[in-house]
Amino acid sequence: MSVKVLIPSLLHKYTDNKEVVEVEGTTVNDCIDALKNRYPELERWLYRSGKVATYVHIGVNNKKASINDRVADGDEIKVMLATGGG
Amino acid sequence: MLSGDDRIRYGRQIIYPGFGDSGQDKLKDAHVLVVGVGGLGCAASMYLTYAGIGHITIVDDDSVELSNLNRQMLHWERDIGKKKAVSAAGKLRNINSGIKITALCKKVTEDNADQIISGVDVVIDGLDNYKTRFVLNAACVRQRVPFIHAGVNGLLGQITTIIPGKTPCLACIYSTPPISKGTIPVFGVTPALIASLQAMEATKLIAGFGETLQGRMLYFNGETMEFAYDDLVKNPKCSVCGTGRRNFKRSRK
Repeated sequence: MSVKVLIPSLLHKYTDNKEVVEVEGTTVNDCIDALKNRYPELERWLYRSGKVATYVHIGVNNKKASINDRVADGDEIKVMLATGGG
Repeated sequence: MLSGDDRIRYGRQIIYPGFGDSGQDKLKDAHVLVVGVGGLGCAASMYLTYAGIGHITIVDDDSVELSNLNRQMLHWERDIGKKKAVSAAGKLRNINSGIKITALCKKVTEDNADQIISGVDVVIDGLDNYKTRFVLNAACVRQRVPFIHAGVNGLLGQITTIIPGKTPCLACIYSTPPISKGTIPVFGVTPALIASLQAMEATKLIAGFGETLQGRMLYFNGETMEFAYDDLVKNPKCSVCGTGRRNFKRSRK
């Protein structure tokens, strides 16, 4: 199942300047893991203690989504950082 | 008009090239609103106070708790149980008696946001949740008040300067308010750093020099000691500042 992950510009330097990366996966978490496995340096921003960080804000097809949501062929996952504490 | 004491007190910043008496005068005439006096709001309001912002209003409805004391520098052990706005205002007045500090023990809501920001020159985001940030962002867009957004998590922080009508607003950046589950981890140094940058942004905006974080989000990753920028894009259909907005219930002032 091929899913597109839209990469925010701050992370382009870790994805060979690719703005969109196609990965395989059946859940959002699978897809982010696949992205990180291909570009391990993304871990420094997107992961904490081996898991996708709680401040990673996920959208699928322009709608809010959760890390465990299922994805379908052709879906677009948008990844953003959203630190919320004050 | 600067006094003789002002020239001494703020002398080290007045001598900064391109700032001078006129820059300090602008700070003295400015009214800055700090919403939330937690980790971000304490540090931001302290530096704004030291810098000589003429009027600072701080808003917070919470009370000081022991768990705040790893990061919220204006609240001390003796303040536990006091309203944060009152606790912070007392310290700020002791730091600088030459400026006006107004404390509001209120929660910002859709019903009072426009009234609270009315007449201020800059709004500083010291909040701990996106729901209220979105309320504040919408009010700032309606009243065309610059909004310096920031947030922290652990050793990670972010900041951008929103100029209504010019830059993307918070609802352009996030189409829906991000939700934080559970207690957000934070080391005191993270909000201290990011809030210092908020105060720096406010100083430059008010005095009119330098470049600010307009249209870009600065992220700081303290775990790897990296700074990075994200280019922000205005959403033409934004529900707050674009064609997707509702007819305003409140008229713009």
